[in-house]
Amino acid sequence: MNEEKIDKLVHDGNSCLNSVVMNAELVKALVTRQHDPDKIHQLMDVIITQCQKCSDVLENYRQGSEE
Amino acid sequence: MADVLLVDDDKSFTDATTELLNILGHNVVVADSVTRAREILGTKQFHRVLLDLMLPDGSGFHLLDDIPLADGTTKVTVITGHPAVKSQVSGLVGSNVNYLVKPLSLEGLESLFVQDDESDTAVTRHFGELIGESEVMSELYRQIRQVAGSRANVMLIGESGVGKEVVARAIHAASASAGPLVACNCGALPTELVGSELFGHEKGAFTGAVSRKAGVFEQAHNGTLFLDEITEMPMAQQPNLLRVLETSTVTRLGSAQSLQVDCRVVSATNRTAEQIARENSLREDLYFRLAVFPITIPPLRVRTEDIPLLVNSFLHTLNSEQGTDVGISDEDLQRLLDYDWPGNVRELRHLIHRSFIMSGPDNEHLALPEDISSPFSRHSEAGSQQQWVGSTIEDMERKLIMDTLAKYDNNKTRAAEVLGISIKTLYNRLNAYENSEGTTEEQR
Repeated sequence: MNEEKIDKLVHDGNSCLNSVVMNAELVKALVTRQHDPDKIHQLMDVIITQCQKCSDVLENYRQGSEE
Repeated sequence: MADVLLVDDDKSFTDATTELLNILGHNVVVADSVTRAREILGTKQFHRVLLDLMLPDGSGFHLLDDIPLADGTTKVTVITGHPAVKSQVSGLVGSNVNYLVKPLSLEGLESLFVQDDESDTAVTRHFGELIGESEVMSELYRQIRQVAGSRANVMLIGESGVGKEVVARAIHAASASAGPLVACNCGALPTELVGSELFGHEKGAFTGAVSRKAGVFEQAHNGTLFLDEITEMPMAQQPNLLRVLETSTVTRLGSAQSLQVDCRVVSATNRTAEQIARENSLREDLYFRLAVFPITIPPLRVRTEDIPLLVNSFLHTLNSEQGTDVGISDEDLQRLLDYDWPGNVRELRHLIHRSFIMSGPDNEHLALPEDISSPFSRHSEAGSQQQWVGSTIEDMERKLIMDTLAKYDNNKTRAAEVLGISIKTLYNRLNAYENSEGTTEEQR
């Protein structure tokens, strides 16, 4: 994989993780400050979606590097 | 509480970050494009802008022109997931523009607003580095902004201790280039290793070359190469340096293959352009390649009004490190203002640090030594005696008056005050000097 592709992979991966971290931080804040099960459920869904997206990003690059 | 503009097109990130910042007590407005951010910036002022670089309609950097950064009311944090920007992060945090790398942490986000609170009491650092609000420093900032927009090579000219490397860091910060800042002291390199340090070498290129090494030009690719004490570079290596600057390619020692390098070279010297030419310490063609944009850094003695700011900044750092609250008395500050600082900011920093240690943690004020002059001071007795022996009292008086006027920018009232004579006496002396010069001219 060339340097440009690696940079893009890191960028795209970090963007997903960025969202994961901020949503997880928000969950922590909500758990300690106020109990809102629906809101926490919704945020956990965002985290799961972002983790799946991150996995897709890695898979796409794996396939790209094989071609 | 701060007003924050969050510029990012990732909705799952902006939703969560907005809510987190609201919990932390800040007001947040979100823009998902450069265009939308411009519209919002046209109607409202923000304390901090959190800016993603890759937006659907262009780079976040394009917004920097729309944000009033110069007066320090708005600060910008560039949020990037691009690894190339990562190397700049540590050098830039603390300026009006700083960087955070994705994925962010809550601590990182919170620290931005702690910095904002602290900056209310701390001294402003221009480009995250430079302290001073004097006219000569404003001119320096103007030159840095001018050159930052280009990729021109810069030569920094200034006395020892004025902060040439700090200015190099400021230029690098203002340029927002993707690569790192790499510093190399040409005066500290053994002659036989200059080529290897600058251009790198292949394994086995010479005895002791046990592995391949990238030179500083390669390391600074897409960034800034700071070559300190450039006039100490051996003459034999100067044609090689010139060739790199002319061709933007570098060939490692022992290699036949040339590599493309793209970096701005900021060189520095404590000699004046005239001295460089007279002493022939740099080839003329190399000088013109390096000094496309020469910048002269003012010595501390011509910006004495910045001394209180510098002292406050040094004390702020020392007090923060030690958990103390040591200040400086008005009398001692006046002594610092009256001194001529031949070692410039470096000498001032050293004196404050030494005095801080001598003061002890419980003292309210710094314990400045009785004699604050360094052995390098123009006020040092030995030097003065050597200079004056053999002169007439009249010559000495004339030199003292002229030097004092020069030091105080020809301010006659201040000069008379310092010399301990009336303004009338000062004018009488100056008239006498003028008349004697006229007589001498006529005699010729």
